[in-house]
Amino acid sequence: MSRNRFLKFGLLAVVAVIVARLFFIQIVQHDYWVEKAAAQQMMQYTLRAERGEIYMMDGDEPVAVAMNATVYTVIVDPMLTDPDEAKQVLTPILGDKRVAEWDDVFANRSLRYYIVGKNVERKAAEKVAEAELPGVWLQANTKRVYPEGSLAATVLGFVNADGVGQYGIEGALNERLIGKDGLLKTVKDVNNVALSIGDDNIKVPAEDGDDVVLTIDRNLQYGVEKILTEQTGKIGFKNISALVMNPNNGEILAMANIPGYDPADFGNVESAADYVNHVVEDPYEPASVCKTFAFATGMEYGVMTAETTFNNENVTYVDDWPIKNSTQKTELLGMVDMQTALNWSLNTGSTQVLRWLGGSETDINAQGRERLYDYYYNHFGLGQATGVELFEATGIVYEPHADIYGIDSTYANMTFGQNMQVTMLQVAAAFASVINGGEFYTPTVVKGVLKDGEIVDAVPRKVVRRTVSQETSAAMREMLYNTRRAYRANGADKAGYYIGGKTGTAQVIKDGEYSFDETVATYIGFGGTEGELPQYLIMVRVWEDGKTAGGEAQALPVFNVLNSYVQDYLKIKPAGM
Amino acid sequence: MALSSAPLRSKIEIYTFIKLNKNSEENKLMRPQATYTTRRGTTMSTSWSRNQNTVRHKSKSLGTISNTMIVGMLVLIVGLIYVAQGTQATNYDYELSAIDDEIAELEARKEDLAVEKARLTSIAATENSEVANNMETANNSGFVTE
Repeated sequence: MSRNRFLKFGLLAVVAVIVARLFFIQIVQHDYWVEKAAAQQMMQYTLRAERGEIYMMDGDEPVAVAMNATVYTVIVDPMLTDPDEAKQVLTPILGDKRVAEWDDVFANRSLRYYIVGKNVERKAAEKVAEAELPGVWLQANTKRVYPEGSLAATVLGFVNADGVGQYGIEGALNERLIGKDGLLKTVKDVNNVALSIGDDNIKVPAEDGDDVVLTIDRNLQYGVEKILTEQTGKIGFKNISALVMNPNNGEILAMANIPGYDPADFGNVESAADYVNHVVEDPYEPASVCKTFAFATGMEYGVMTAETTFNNENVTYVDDWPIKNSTQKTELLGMVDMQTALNWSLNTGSTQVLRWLGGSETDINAQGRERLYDYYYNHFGLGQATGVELFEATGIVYEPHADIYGIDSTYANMTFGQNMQVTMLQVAAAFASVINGGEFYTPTVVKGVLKDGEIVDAVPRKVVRRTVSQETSAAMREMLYNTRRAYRANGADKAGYYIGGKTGTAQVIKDGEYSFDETVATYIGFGGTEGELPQYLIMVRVWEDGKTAGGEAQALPVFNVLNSYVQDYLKIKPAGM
Repeated sequence: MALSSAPLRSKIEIYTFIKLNKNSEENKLMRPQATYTTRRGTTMSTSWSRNQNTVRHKSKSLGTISNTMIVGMLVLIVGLIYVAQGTQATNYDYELSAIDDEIAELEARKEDLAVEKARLTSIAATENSEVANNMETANNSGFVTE
């Protein structure tokens, strides 16, 4: 073979090898290399949507009560950082934000990453940056802050370390608050700067979460919480919950639970029970406040008025079970009217209403149960979620033909609010409809969304259904007004105001049986200018494990203090002014 | 006028000339004896009634090396323009990136100030302020008739 031919074949072989290699890289391994190149040349960022803020009303102005702030994590590289210099410079700057002991930080100098400060605010972070310590750097994070501290904590909830809302508005409206993350995918240069060149660049802008405005009035909420805190000391009970509502549109103006917690420091609680909003998440037996609903049902069926009488023996028997009055006054024995029955909260009176609903003087029957259930469940919405924008429990109201032992006695108990489980909010929404002319509004804590300083997307307040006639409503208002005036208000109400209400004291089920050692106290009432429709509704619940709370002894005094405060705050004038 | 005198004229001029004169008496008389040169350069001597405007005209063309160089120069110029534009776009990207960082920084500061303002104007802060502490409590309040 000549030298030329040899060279030709040699060259050809080399070219063939190169072509084969190129084929392998460009065709066979095409996807692999494209992916590798993209990883080097492309950058992909998630554009974080900003969590929406939460506002309360201050008069007509929305004020932020849950916001976002930039905080910094201070990180040290123990290998590069001088221990003495770090201790000397960083200790005073970090203060209580320091999360590590210096000896621990520098115990192993081969570590390259040690977090020494968390949630460090901007000013301190700037000082850290100015110090220019070798091996010390900052990482920015977003933190949820609550400038009002523990105000309305159980209503607001909190945001956990993963950025997920828990409890309250933060939890229930998490999807609306978090918004929608965007995406930035672009070619980058060696300095990681996004370049506009390239055909595959993508930018999907983030959509920030809604700034939600609550119906809750910040000042009223603060005042209510302050009063409740004071009252826990005065009446000697650990737990008080209260609700202030506009009965004419269902807007909740204040919702408080004592004890509360600091949502910015949500880990610092005695137990998870502190997170619970007892107004909506904790069904209980509201007791005699339910006589309002039983009596209203009786009026709707025309079986009673305030003047209708029955024979009170302070005890009556249903399914061979004795149903006793809490008041065993002998002067109440004999024929008493229904106003007296409400004034003295006679269980025998409300049981008699159930008999009358069935068309009987002596027996409880299916018709009576069906009628009571229809009003309790379908009209008043007891035992059903109200639709408020919070996590809420539904509770239990037994059906009239439920296969349970002693259905008649169960229903007799339901006339005075026992043997059923409902939330405070269910009772308040139903009570509002009884006293506002018979119109049921879905209770709400959300006024709308704040956009460019304006409140938009407000859900119009509509009457969901009629619960009772206007006549029944007017009659029940008068009965509740008389009940409060009869003797229980103890002169607490100022002249010119029209204030009514009802107490409730319920035994608590312990180990499957009603306990005589623990009771829950409730008071629900309304108020406003005399001669006008009620302008506000207040509900109070008092309880503590192992203690007996009374509607009159504990809940009523709290209501009275709240009533005066709400009256003044809302600037409700007495009649004639 | 004979067509052979046309080479120095432009193609349009020739075409116009023929169009104007093809029906003249002189042309009609000359038609049988006319000779002309086809585009391929072959001299024809036959009667012609069509392709009266067919004419050979030589174009001056550059050589292969010149063409290659011109194309190369053009590619180079376009390439330079592309690179210049790309560099300029990258410069804008840097400016944009810096502005984005500045916006993010200012927004973070704005948020911090808003939080600070909210803390300072919170009810608890207001109630515990020196101004509030120096206020006197009203002993009696009520409504007056107008």
